[in-house]
Amino acid sequence: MRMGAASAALATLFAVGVAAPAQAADSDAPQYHSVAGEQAARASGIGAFRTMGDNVHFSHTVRGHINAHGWWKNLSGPARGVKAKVTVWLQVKRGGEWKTLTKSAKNVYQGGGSGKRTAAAYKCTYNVGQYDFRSVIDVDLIGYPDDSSKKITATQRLGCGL
Amino acid sequence: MPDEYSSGTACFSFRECLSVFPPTVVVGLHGTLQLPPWFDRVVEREDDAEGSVADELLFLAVDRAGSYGWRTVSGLLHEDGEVTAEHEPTAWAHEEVGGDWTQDGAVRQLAWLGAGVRTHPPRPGIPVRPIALVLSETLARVGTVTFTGLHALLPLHATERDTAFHQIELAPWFGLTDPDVRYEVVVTVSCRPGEGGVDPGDAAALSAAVREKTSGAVDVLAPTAEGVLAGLDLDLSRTVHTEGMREVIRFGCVTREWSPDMAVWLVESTAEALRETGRPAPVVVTASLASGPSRDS
Repeated sequence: MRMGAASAALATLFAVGVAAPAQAADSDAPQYHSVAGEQAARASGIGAFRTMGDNVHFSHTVRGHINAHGWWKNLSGPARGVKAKVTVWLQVKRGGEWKTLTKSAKNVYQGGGSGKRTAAAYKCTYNVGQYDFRSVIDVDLIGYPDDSSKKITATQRLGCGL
Repeated sequence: MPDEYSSGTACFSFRECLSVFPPTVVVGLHGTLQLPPWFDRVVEREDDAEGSVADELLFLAVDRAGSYGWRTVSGLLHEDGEVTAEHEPTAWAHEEVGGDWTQDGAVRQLAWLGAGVRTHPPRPGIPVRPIALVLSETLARVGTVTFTGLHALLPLHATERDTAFHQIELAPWFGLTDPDVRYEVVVTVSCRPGEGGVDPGDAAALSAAVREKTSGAVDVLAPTAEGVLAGLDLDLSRTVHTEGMREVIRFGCVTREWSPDMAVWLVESTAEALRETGRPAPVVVTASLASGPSRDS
């Protein structure tokens, strides 16, 4: 269901921006966090969708790069043709805190695959060491209130220099 | 702590770090693919879409895996504004998928999929067969495939033998076929020097072990030199995870059928035999068609 102008304005009113997604989160467990906006989302008829992603991994095609991808699947609710802003933060743990190495955002249709996802890539340096990496994925359906829940992928220890 | 799909191996140089990937499996299917006339009418892409149409459509293999109950990606389920479920990979951790569908009639790597494998209990084994299955199904969905070979990067060093299933248990399955049909198939094993993998001296024992596991459903021939039996022309230097590997063992087989199913059996039987040599290391095993079919008179 597409939103009218009034409901769009209402959605804007309820939408909660999260400027620094989990950058300081210290938990290693896969997790998400929800803040305000869920009631607005329920009222908007946003329906059901999935936030999806892969664990941070070495690129299979570009030497010395690590990648993380995020995408979404529409299950019910929003009409066909809706895009979502999918944001992926690729993070590393340093000094007990998660720091963002790179952030990437793209407006994509639902589905996944190379043309319907956001990719965050980091080029490893020649500094020796193994570090813990993870990604944070936010899916914000354009024209609908954001429920502000983000997927944090499982921590991966990789020999990728910083 | 890193999760169960990651490794914690130390490395002391940049090159060494790059070679110490977390346990990753890659399965690739090779052959020719003919796209149907209706293909362009049903496949829509955005002008700024990244990657090839093959890379995009092969992602359907991820969805197909999910339909079998194999969880391979991370996710949240949002329903009416609430997160009602969270999922993690349990079968394998999807990394990347791609393929080459150039329509020139040449044999190409039509589909490949790379994934992290589970290294903590309960270990479900290296998922070569399920990955080959979803890739095969995806290719069959988009066109007519002539299958010529399969390769698999197997992290034998990071996984243990499957005590719940042994490849010889599939011999009756593959015995159910026309006994007069013959295909010549080539099996190769490649690894990096210095990683503790097999060497040419293991060839006779390896082929004998595969002969035992295939239990009459396959005639395993003596090992041969590279180039004697033509098979898959796999360029190991093209992909990051196989760089530095070279072929060390090659032997021929005579089978009664040729399919991805048979190729997986040969690859997994060889992998099981490799474990028994006591030299677990990352290896690439291929099974590819040399000739056939022919019929015994």
